[in-house]
Amino acid sequence: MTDPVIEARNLAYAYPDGTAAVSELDVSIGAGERVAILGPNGAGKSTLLLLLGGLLDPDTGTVRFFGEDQPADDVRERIGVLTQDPGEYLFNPTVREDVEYGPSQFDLPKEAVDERVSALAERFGLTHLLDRPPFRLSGGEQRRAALASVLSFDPEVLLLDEPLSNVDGANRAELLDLLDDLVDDGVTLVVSTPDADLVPAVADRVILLDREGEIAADGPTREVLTDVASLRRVGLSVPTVVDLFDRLGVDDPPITIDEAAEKLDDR
Amino acid sequence: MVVDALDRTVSTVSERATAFLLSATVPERDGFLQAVHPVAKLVGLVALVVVTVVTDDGRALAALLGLAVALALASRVPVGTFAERLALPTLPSLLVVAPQAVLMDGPAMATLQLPVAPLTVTEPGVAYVVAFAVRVAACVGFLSLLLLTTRFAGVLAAFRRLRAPPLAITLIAVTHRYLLLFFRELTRMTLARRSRRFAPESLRSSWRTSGSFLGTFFLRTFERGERVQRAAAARGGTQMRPYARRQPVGVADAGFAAVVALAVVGRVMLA
Repeated sequence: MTDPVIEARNLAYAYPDGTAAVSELDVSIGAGERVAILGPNGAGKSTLLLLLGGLLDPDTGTVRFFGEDQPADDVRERIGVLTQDPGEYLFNPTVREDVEYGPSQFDLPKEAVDERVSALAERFGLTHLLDRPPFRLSGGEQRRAALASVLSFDPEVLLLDEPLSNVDGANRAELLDLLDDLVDDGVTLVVSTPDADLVPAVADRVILLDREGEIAADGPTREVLTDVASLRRVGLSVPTVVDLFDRLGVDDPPITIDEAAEKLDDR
Repeated sequence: MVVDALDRTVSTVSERATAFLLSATVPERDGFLQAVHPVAKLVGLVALVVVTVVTDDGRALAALLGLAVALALASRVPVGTFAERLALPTLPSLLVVAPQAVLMDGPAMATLQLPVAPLTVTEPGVAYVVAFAVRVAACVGFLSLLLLTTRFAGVLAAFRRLRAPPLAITLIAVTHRYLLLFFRELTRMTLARRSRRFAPESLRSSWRTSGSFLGTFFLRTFERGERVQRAAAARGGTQMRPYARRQPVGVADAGFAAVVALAVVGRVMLA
């Protein structure tokens, strides 16, 4: 693994009402990695992302950032955390103010900030929505606005909580391309999702959580997604392609549609 | 950073308030008061509050506070949680009533030499302040026990069984729901802001952004409240249905009734 950008040791967190969310987790994320946190609803994925982003203080355990013991607030501009509900993430009166919130904190001239906002608005199809209140947007529009906001300050690490839920097919493909571009640019990507079908498109490594908020598996995407028994044990659906080839009794099943097509062609 | 300190404070307050309003684990514990029927518990604890309010004797008040603590321990309420709930209203009330220690007439206990004029602390004054604080703590303790050991739906059901006015019950239920909504929304917004706040901000600028934040917060809460109202309307409005759970009267109820009766009889005999 490359140098860790986030190292969590012995993490445990319980909600204020006493319900345990995650318990005794050890997680290390290397620079430039693409990691998926996969687990069923209620497994503690969102809580784990907030802990890794330093937005929640763990009950026990420690989180180190960029190889050093330092407060998360000191590295806040290097880590972008996008919460599950994009509506929650957008806290400014208009979309424009929300997107410019990050860059306006850098020592940049107003024109440079405006330029960055315009570029992001164009990239995410938000130009006509810039002066609207975020909570008046549709779910998909909120999602795009939230992504524009989190990318507005060019973080080195992106922690995205179910970034593709509520996004239609066309926008989904576009966002996946965007995430690929970001990784190509060296951004470390951590995505949480309960959707095993999505994982091959966003991650090379999977951390599988069970319902108790404990790590059930941690390994390369292919290894975890083809371990049908483990996925079922934690209460997740097996990826459709894997399920199909598993039922056909094929060893080493493909994990993407492209791989499946190739495999069928070979036959 | 001004804004970050503000956000952290707001987050902490919201979390504590949510935990106060939503006690999920303690009502499920296998404890003494958890086994008591909610109606018996409501009536009994309110009776203990009344006894506490009409009691002046310091030792009797201390015994009542001791009873509240003993009930908490028997109900497996976490000591820290209970102490926090006792302290939160008791300490401010102690500050409010503290001047009585020097304002009341009586034999002097001590004299404080202040630059302006000497202040004499009197025995009746101190006794009054202590009794007041203990009374507040005991009352808060009994009421906290009701909320900590009963699910909120159970408390509402008990009110309904006791034929409390439906409008009052609806108001309590809706207020509880909206307070939770309010604090959750606040927590989420401060979290979102913290996640993107990385440069120091001047006091002036922080006032400006906080104002805009507050405005957005109220608009969002209003929107969310409307959505909750629509969801309630889609399921038949806010008319509450009778609480169907049946809990037979048992040994715990008898034990609790005996404790309450003992406290009431003790108070009457003291009078």
